[in-house]
Amino acid sequence: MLKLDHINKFYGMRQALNDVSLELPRGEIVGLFGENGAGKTTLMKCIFGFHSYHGEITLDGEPITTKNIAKLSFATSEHSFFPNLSAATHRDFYANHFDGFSDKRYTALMDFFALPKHKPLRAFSTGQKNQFEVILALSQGADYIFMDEPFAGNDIFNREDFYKVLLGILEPHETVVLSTHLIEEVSDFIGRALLLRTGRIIGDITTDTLDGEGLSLVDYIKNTYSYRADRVSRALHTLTGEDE
Amino acid sequence: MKKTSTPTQTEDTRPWYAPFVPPGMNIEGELIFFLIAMLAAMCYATGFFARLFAQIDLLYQYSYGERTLIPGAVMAPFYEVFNQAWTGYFIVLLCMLGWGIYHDLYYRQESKSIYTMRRLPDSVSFLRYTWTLTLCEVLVCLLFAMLCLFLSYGIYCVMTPEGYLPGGQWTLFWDNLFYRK
Repeated sequence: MLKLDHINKFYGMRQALNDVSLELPRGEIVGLFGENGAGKTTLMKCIFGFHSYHGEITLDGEPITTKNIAKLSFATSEHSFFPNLSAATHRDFYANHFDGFSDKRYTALMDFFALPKHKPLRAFSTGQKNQFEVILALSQGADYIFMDEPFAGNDIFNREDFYKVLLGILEPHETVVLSTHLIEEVSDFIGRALLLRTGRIIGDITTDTLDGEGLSLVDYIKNTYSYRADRVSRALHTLTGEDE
Repeated sequence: MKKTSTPTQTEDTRPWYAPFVPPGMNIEGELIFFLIAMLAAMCYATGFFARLFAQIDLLYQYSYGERTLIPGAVMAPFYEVFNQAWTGYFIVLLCMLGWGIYHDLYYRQESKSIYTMRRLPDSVSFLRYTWTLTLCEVLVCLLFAMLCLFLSYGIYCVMTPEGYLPGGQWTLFWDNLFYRK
């Protein structure tokens, strides 16, 4: 269980995370949603210790240190691979450092995305870079796989295929936390939705509960965010002086 | 227990020095810079010989084309002749520390591989990848600086005519090095 207890994070005077408390058990696919600047990336970086914060983050009751950090993996749209290394050398690097590295999963995903194995990563297209970032995160052998906007730049066919593969390959003990703006796309694949707004958790709901209430994920998010459906017509009216 | 398939598939194909340099970094440029800088430092250090021969020459007098030692003359102290001939090595050392900082910045170029480095389960790995090469270069610089000092002193002693060496050389040397105003 990954537990976040009253996490607060400040960038100077600005509060990026405001009293965030969460429990993430193993075996879930969690969607992390929020507008730009809501604190999604900051939250992930705090979990990995890339940012300092106030509060407590524990994994199975222990603070996250070098002893247990291999249980967490990270795919980020900023990319965390080494641009000069090939995919094959990355595999060697990961196999060398992460005891749980799954060569089987790595090879299968490399084949699935048809990525070149001996070309430096810097020569990959943006889409391929994203795919490789995700492959590394999934192959590391982590129990918690964090993905921060992993598919920015990938076409819809690739993304949909990937969600299907993801569902097929995940072990029962693996949790995926997926931060994305592609809410409708992932709504069928996630089991829980977390909503962040201005650094605060404003919604935490399972898709089963949503189904029970007859609500779609998009509707739930719009309701929680107090989305004003008339804002487009009001804006057009202000701009053009005419009704929509 | 690794989940890797067969031994041949997981065989590490990286070069032997890979665990000691930032992954994917081309170290050729750095090594060439280091070698050229060391050569320059050595050239600078050879200035010692010019000063040594000039000082030895001062111990002699010339009369009718004959060269004889001046009775009661004393050779200039070692620190004066040495005149920080090792300075070049310390400049190289500072440059290599600068390269070390560049190693750390390298993880933020084009991607944020710093995130991978900071997630490595072995806490020593990050330091090993980033600083081993720099540490070796710094040690080589220090070794050459020390060699330069002791070799110069040995040559100074051998070349100075017997009985013309001043006493308390090292005290003078260190005093001059640390307390010079």
